[in-house]
Amino acid sequence: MTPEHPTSPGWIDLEITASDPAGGGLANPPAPSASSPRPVSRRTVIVAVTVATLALAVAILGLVARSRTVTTTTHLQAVVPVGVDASGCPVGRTCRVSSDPESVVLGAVDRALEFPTVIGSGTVSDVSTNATYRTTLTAVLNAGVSVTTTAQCVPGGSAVPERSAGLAATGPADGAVVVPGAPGCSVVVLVRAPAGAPVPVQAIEHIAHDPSAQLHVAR
Amino acid sequence: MVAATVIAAAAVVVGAAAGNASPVHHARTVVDPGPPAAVTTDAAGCPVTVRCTTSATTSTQLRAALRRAFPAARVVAGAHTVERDRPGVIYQATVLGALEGGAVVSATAACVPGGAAVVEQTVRSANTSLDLAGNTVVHARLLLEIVPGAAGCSVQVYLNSPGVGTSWDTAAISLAHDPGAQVAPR
Repeated sequence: MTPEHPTSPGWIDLEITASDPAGGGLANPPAPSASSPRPVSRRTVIVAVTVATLALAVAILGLVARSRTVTTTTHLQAVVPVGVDASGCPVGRTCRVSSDPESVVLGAVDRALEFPTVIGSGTVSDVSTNATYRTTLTAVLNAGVSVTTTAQCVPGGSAVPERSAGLAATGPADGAVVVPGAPGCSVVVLVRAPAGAPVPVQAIEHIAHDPSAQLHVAR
Repeated sequence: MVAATVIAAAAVVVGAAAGNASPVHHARTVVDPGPPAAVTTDAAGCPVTVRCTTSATTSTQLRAALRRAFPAARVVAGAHTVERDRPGVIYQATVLGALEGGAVVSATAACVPGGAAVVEQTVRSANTSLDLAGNTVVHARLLLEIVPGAAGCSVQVYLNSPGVGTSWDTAAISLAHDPGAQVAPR
């Protein structure tokens, strides 16, 4: 319905209608049309480029950090044998000495020489690990024949060569038979016999080559 | 504005690549060689790199040292290992002596080529048991004395004294410290 207004000179007709708040009213001017785009300010461009550059830099740093090569180096100290002292205890270890021979070595001697008289013996073993490094026993037979058996292991040691003195069946005899065991380990059987005494060559070879007479030490 | 868009797109691409990337791990083990290794010796004291001769008689110098410390000792066994081509080079010598009262003393002098310095030590112990009344019975006193010589060389004296007696201890320690008992260094 259109109101009717009286027309008279000097008056302007005004029609006030509700307007869209987004479209602007008296306080909000209408948005520019598509045909005339609003220009982006120079400052906005600089900010946008800066932000994008920073984002790119962060991404590059992340890529570098995550794709790098990580090398883990482990240093190991080689186990180097430093020798043994006169008792057979490795240098640097703490050992104890027992007056008893190692039972397996004593058993080997007893089997081969039929329970001879033992006049001296001793065993050197590690206080912390109980590992036996050296055991020795001296036995005497009839006719003044002495047989000394020693089994030894040097931890980390190398292979021991076999050697033999080539014992005669009748004295005088003075020699040794060395038989290797595991690397660093060996058994030596020493025999001394006066002239005319029978030398238990077979028993000595049996002791020296008896695997049970060998000591075993963890490397 | 186009430049900002391109850079932002590149950042997205690089960021995605970074998200998918993972470090490459390499494990490396380095074994430090350590000091030069000592030469292994066999049960008779012969270095495995040397051709030796072992005799079931003690060396004259160790026998003399035993006599100095224990004039009344009776030598019951011994051994010594020498270089086959140079009999004067002794690698190990042992002597077993019987003392009055059933005591036994043994001495061993040895040198390990390339061996480290030996540390001096004295160890005293005893073979004991409990009787029916719960009392400790001492069967033997044991003394071990190790005295270093040159690097890799040492003398060990082991004394086994029956009962509670320690009358031989001083002589045993004297034998261990006797310079004449040491195997000559090479």
